[in-house]
Amino acid sequence: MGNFMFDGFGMGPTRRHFLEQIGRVAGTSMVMAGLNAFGISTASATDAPPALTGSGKGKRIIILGAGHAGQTSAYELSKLGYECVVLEARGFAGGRCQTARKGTKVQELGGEAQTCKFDEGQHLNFGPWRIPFHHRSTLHYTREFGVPLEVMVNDNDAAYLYHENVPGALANKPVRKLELLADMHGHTNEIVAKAAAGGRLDDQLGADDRALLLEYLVSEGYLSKSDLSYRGTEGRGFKVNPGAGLSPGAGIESEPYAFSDILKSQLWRALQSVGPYDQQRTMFQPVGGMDQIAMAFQKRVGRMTRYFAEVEKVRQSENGVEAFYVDTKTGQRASVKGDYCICAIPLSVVRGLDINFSRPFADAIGQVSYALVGKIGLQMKRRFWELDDHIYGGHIMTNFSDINQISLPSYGWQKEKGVLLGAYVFQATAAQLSGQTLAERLDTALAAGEKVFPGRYRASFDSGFSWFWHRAQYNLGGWAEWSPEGRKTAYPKLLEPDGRIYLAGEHLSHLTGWQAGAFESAWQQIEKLHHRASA
Amino acid sequence: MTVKKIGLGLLALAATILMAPAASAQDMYAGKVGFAKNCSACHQLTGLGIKGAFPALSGSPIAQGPEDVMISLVLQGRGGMPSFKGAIPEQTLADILTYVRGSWANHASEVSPEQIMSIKQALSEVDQRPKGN
Ligand SMILES: Cc1cc2nc3c(=O)[nH]c(=O)nc-3n(C[C@H](O)[C@H](O)[C@H](O)COP(=O)(O)OP(=O)(O)OC[C@H]3O[C@@H](n4cnc5c(N)ncnc54)[C@H](O)[C@@H]3O)c2cc1C
Ligand code: HEC
Repeated sequence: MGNFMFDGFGMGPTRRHFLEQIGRVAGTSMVMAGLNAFGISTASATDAPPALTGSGKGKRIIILGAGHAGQTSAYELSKLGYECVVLEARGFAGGRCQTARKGTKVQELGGEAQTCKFDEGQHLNFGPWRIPFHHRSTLHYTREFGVPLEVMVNDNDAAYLYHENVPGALANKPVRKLELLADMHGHTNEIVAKAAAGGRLDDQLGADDRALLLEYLVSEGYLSKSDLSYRGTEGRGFKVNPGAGLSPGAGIESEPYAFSDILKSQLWRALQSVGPYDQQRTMFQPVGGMDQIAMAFQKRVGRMTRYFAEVEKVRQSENGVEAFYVDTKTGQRASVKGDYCICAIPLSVVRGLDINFSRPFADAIGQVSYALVGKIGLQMKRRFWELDDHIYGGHIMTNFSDINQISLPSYGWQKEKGVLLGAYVFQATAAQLSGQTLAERLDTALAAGEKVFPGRYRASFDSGFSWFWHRAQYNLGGWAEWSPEGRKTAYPKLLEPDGRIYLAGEHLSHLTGWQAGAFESAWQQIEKLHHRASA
Repeated sequence: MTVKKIGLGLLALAATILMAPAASAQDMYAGKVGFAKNCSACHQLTGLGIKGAFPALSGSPIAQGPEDVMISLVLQGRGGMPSFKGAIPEQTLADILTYVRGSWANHASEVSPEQIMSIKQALSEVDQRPKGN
């Protein structure tokens, strides 16, 4: 989502929650009424594609780009009888929905040619990699197409947090998240509980509530019932794990970290009561790689797609639209005419194309910026994180300025090798890392990981893959980032067609940077187009 | 050293920089290194950019125009360029901008850390915390 934490959040989970509640008690018509009461069109219901009736027979729609927004448009409109022609610049469909595996060939703009050398069966989702449970549009298509899903461990209490160069005893060492959670809650609850018990919160709490709050603080933070102190708890892990017989027998309990050390380490920055709206602890991923979704679409719309067709120019008139493209394999130029056009190309790229948009529309397109983002995948010969550290999936969050985090794979548990995400970086950090050669990038990632897993990270390294989306031809950025002003002025303009051209894509949603944004944007635009074409 | 002493040290340093003659204050070599690290991924080491994606800085009217325009552009970012406001210290950025303004086909004035500082202060505080998807 945007560079502001709240960007994709703006419409608010409370509104959504409210609608779900009334849907449960009063049925769909009330939900519709509720939606309208909130001032949003019923077309933005996100469970399923719009239920469109009538026929599009005899009309041709030119769709620019075969990412999810283009694929969705072609799939749904062709069901209605429209003739769809999809022009895709790349030699494959799916856009950002890509997975690197053995043989994947890529090259960044001005960069080195790269061929992925992972083993058979290993992969890295270098674009989208996780699906929240409430992205019902994404889950609609995985269900409809029978794309098998598996759980993506998006938060693992056993995973490490690591902060270097901070004051206190927790600096420069891996700390398991569960230790930190237990101790942070325990110490904090102790302070609040003692204050409440001592009557110091009486101006905020009645006697009944005070008693209940105390009960909560004791049970939630594992405080001693007798003196409300926190002295650790078994859930944070043992010094010697319990087992059979007398040794290890009951094991040896661990000691909590000192509150002041935790506070000074700032490791608590990784803790939140719940994740943000779009980041749950367990998410989904397609078995075998995210690009399974793109391929499932392409089975259905492949026959309508022209690959290596790079659109250079579009001309629209009162009567129709003509898209001019170059076949990047042969260099030959051609054009295709249609009644309407859906432009599902990222705005970062659209900006540079020759399309006769109206002036205000073109200006609005210029107002969005795109995130700098990139990843580095490292194939490891040995799953040391599972074998030695007993961490199965999830993220190691660090304060390293060069890699941010290390994410452990949620596929192929207990297999010999595995591909982990060795860097996931944004904005200026991404600009810097992407300025390094491939070899330098891998070295940066290995040096960082070596701090967390000394002696094993570099030694286990097999081969790497790296991709930065701002250096990707046909994308020029990870995802759209709207400023609050842009959301107010430019965004609403771009939701309406300019003549016969409709825009679609993640950039025209409040789910920017999510596949659901691309699907749901396409759903809205094809509904508008169909109503107009059938009028 | 106490915090107070560090503060005084910085003040003294700032004073030295302020008194230094503008014409020789920036380090072209440091600028070249900083450019390679922060800018070359897009604008390329040659300063020629990539057609259709990243503009050339060599011969760019902005890179040779008024200092404040160029400084605010690089501090705030625009389109496909990130904000470097929190990412590069003033002195380094001054070196980089001076390098860009004086390299390849460019022949423009130097940029000082003070100019950068004053424009930084005028910019509104925006939460630039990036968020992964
Ligand atoms: C690093 C990263 C992580 C992400 N993580 C997640 C995640 O965990 N979960 C999730 O759901 N989403 C995630 N996303 C977001 C998701 O990938 C996108 O929102 C979605 O794929 C965008 O689809 P789209 O159709 O709008 O655009 P795209 O997929 O970009 O499609 C645009 C298409 O247009 C084509 N094109 C461009 N120029 C031309 C031209 N001149 N002529 C013809 N065709 C052209 C492109 O080749 C491409 O196929 C992530 C994205 C990135 C970059
Ligand atoms: C992620 C790629 C990227 C990086 C990294 C980057 N830039 Fe840019 N830069 C751009 C793009 C894209 C534009 C065009 C912005 C626009 O006008 O929409 C631009 C524009 C500029 C311009 C204006 C050029 C003109 O004539 O329009 C200057 C000057 C500039 N950048 C300097 C820098 C400096 C200095 C750095 C490093 C500190 C840097 N850039 C790093 C992508 C980048």
